[in-house]
Amino acid sequence: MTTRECRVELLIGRRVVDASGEVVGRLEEIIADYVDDEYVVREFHVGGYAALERLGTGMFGRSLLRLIGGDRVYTGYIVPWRHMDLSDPEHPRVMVAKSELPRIGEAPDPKSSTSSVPGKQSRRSA
Amino acid sequence: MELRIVHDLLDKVVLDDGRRNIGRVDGVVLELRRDAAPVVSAFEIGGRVLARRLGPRLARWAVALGRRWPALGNGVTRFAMRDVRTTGITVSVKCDGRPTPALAWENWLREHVISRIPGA
Amino acid sequence: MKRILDLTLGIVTSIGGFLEAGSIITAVQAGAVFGYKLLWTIALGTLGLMLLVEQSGRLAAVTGRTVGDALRERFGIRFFIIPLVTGLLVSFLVLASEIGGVALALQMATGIGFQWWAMPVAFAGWFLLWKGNFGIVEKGTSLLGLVTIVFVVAALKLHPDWGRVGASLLPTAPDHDGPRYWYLAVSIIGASISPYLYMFYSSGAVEDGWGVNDLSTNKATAVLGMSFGGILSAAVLIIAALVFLPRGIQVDRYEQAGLLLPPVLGHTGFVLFLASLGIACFGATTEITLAMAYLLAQGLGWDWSENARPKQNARFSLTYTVTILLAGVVMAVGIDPLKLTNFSMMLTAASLPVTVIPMFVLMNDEALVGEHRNRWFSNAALGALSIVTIIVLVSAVPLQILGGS
Repeated sequence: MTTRECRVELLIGRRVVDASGEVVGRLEEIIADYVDDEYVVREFHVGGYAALERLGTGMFGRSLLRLIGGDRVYTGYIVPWRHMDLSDPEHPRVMVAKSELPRIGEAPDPKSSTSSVPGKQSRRSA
Repeated sequence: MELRIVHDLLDKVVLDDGRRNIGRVDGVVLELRRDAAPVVSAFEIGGRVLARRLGPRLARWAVALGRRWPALGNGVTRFAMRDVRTTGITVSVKCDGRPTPALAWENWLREHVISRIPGA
Repeated sequence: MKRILDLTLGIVTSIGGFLEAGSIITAVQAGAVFGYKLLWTIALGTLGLMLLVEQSGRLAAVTGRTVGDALRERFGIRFFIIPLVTGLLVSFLVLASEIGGVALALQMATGIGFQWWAMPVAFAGWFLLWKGNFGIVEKGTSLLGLVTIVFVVAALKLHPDWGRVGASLLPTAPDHDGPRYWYLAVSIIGASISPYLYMFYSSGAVEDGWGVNDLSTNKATAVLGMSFGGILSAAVLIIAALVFLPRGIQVDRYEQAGLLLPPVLGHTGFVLFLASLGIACFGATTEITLAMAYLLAQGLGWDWSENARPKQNARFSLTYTVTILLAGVVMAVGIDPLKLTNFSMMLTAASLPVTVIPMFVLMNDEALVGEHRNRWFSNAALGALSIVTIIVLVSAVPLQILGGS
């Protein structure tokens, strides 16, 4: 099995396009499951910010946009691992059409991590 | 059990087996496999890794700095994900962080500078 | 019972620690030129600070993360580098001006030039940080800082027209010297809402191990502590309005500020002014130094406890050591302390969007603060404040050119 390494911190925030070249959004999150002593990637979350996507802002900018704009601004897509092509890490591609991707928050998938969890209250100890 | 790389891992504080702060997760390595799901294989702590996120020029500068003072082992510390115990607010690793490059500066400064000042 | 004691201590330290070089000087200058007219900026700045302090305390209590931690963890390094660099740069200049404040107080007391006092003051501050723990540094200097209540006493003795004072709490336009008016308005906002203050506060909350049970204490401390602190600033302005304005004294040297209290309280007033200036600025010196070291250490993931011995957090201790001594050098080479104070207040005001707007995002992040996220009222206030900070940023450069001395 040939393996290649890819850096997550350089992947996050990159523009993701679909099979026809249409922009899906920016890569925002990667979800993995702990299986057989390994963290196996299950899906990628790509945030679509409609027209605002061109601004290409970072995590902070997108958080601010979501806060102000709400649902009108943000639509998230779930890309299962087998549909994501990372052969060129600077230009991640989805191998299907955007319309085929499940939206974040729509499919009531129990494994889907779309619900936010309140912050934990463990205190920092040093 | 689920891991959200950006939310739970990247940029979070790393504690070693003695609950010592050894730094923050500066980078995460994904192992891409042909015909199989990618695996989160490791994370890294290092100035160079952090600098690369800020831009290629800064990254080159960080590398040059590291070459200037090799004794400090200004290198990158990689932790295999199988040694990672919990991911919540902080990330815990199963080893002693003190001999790793992550704490190289901290150790060197403690020995050669801070301890020499009375009252430390 | 302990809760009440904690609360009292929290409020008292907030009062004692409120004034520093920037707030004193800008209030004196404002009163000397515009009478009561700029009181509304003190009110506005104090309200803004109150908001930010309460939120940063709530963040720390609910999540155990400081503002520095949260900025890196939620927004990544590419964003964090901006508040980090701006915060360190601006805070460094404010720090140097605080050391200048102490040095000037000593100059006025002894006749020995402030440049000679700069490094001893820096060393004294360093020594307190090196040997002391968080409790001593924060509470010790703040309790001594209660000497600044002398300003309230003096203001009351002057029997100001409270009606006019009250009316000045609402924004009014200047009737002369517009650029200078707005320059001072912006500077006062920068002096009131110093980012180091509420960043320091969240680190303190974590050092003291605050939890969800401390949220009401946090709110009370923020509201009462900052309100009473704001009253101190207002008192300084009122005194300047009644003592300097009629005499046409414009303050562009610290020595002139020293003439503030003697007309009201005689020679004792002069001594108390020097004590207030010196102690308030010294307290700010140690706080800003710590705040800067906290921001860097938290952002990069170093150990950072002030309660630990310096050996246990080498990089953190080195950071605050180098910072405070370097700031001392700035004063030792003879940079004009008053000019630096004015300039650094302006710079602080201009840099506010960089720290205020992220708070807006953090405190609404359900995944971070859960049920303790901002209610609509806090959001409306914070949103309004954010807009004010953007206006301030945009007007900073023209104002510095047109309105600065």
